[in-house]
Amino acid sequence: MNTLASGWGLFAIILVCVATVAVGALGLRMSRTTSDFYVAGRVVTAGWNASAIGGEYLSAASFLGVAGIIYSLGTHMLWLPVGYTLGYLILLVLVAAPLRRSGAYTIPDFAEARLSSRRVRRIASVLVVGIGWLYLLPQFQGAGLALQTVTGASPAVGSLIVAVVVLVSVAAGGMRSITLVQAMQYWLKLAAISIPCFVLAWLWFRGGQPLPSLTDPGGPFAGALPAYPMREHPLYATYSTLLALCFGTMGLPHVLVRFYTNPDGRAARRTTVIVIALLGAFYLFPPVLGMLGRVYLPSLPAGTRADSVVLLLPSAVTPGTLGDLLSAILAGGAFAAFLSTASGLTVSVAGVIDQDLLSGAMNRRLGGDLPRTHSFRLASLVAILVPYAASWLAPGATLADTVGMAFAIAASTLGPLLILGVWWRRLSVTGAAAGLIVGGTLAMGATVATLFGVGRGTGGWLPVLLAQPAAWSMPIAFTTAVLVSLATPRSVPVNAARAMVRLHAPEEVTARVRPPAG
Amino acid sequence: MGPAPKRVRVVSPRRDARRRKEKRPDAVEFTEQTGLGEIYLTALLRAQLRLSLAILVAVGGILVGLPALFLLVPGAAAATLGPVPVIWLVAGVAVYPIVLLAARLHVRMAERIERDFTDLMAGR
Repeated sequence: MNTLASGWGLFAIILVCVATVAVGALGLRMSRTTSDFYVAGRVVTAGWNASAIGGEYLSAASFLGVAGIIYSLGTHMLWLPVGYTLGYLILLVLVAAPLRRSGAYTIPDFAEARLSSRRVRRIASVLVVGIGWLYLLPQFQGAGLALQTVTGASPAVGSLIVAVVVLVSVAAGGMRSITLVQAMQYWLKLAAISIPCFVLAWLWFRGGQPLPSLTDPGGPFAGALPAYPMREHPLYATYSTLLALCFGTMGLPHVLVRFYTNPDGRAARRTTVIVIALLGAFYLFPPVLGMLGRVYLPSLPAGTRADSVVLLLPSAVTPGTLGDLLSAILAGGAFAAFLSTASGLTVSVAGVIDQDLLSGAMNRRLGGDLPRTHSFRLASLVAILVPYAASWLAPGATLADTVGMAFAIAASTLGPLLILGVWWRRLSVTGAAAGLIVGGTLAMGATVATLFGVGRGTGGWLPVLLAQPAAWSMPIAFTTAVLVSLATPRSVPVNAARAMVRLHAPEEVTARVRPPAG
Repeated sequence: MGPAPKRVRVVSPRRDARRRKEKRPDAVEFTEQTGLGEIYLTALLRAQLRLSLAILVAVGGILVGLPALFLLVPGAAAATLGPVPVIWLVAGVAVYPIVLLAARLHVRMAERIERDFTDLMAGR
């Protein structure tokens, strides 16, 4: 790539980084009270809040990964963005309003509020950290990939930039909680993917609508490209991944926190509907870029990951200034995706590390002398360093696959906890703990085995089952939680009925109704 | 606008947010202390759960059906409308408004169930 092109791209990336830090700093100056910080003073409309949720949710996997996987494996993979969107529908119908009414700010908060158990809270905390780290990993990898594609810099540089920008803005005191920053990120990402997509699609249309040179019996867009072997047992893999996406979304560390900004349960529902509309609008575009990639980039240069097809496409369609400019816009949007998701995750993970894992130990050792700010900053550092280091060690999987594993673990642990906690009065403390431990062990074990390549290349069921564990690990986790709860009725929390009223009764009832006289 | 509130420093998620919430004891006591309250709550829970499951089954049909259609039915993935693959029109475009409609339907029905519950409690 020539120097002018890399100049454009670098400019776009720097612009996004500077804008993110600047708007964050500005918002931080404007927010003065605790309420401002956490819930934006409750003046945020549902539309802004939904934009913020969308801005935080659309990550490297959405911006680069979806197009990459549709490019390499074909239109069979179109259900992947559908699954990312459906996760919010499941969240809406199963947990959105009750979770808001629980008053919980994080999933460990919910566990403690619903079950009155510090032990379950602790297990949930460990899971939040594990899932958050696994989800952060591809954000760093994606950043390295984007910078490398645009400027030729080593992948380590791009990861480092994201790590530093996120650490600075999080430790400085909370880009993530400033709803407007995340809302801005959504519209930035939508513009950055839709404008190049419209231009490229128009060029394709005007150029006589060429089709890919691929001669696949299933059609030119359907089968896998020769360089990317079709996966074994695709139907199982599809269903298992869909299950993970549908039931994992609600368990992601950075999702529940945003719902706290809604004033009540009804607003939480309405916000979720807008989120679904916003995500649907965004996901119209990545598949188009993936399919255009098949037309203009029949094969990628050796050693290039399919995830970079979005960034390479513009120059392949229209070499010259226009292509460079479009590439730069896409690279800037991709960086917005890494920054917003990574900072949302980092604050959630750092908060849990600080609250549940670090402060206790540090207070014991230092006698409570350490100021809270220091311990949160230390926690942020830990929250970023671990996945940053891991992004060097585990370069193998594609962006969408790694994110998929985080979804699978969430769907096998925190998802069942939330669903049973919201709908089933007889969930016991022991049952919830058993479900979390069994589901977590199975899903994490499968993930570790996949990362280390257990059974790879044997062509049998084992690697497929390990790579997409949700279809078996989630039902086992659910069953464990239910059976153990039934066997331990004594450990059902005494205030379960009270908690259920709180979760399900509309606010105007709980505020207005007088107790029966006499 | 009065004077700007004093600036406070927030360093971590507030785990005690739950405790700070406004107290809503009336309905809680009503439900815990009377059999009627228990029945009302159970009815509310059942109605909401039925609604949620109905939406899930409907959407589950799309989920199970689409991948099977693309992977198992020969020619389904290859069909085109002009140069545009039909599979993309279905799974890449049409599915999103359907999901959005399901979401809106759920919100409307769930709010209706809650309104009925509120009226029931108010008219008690």
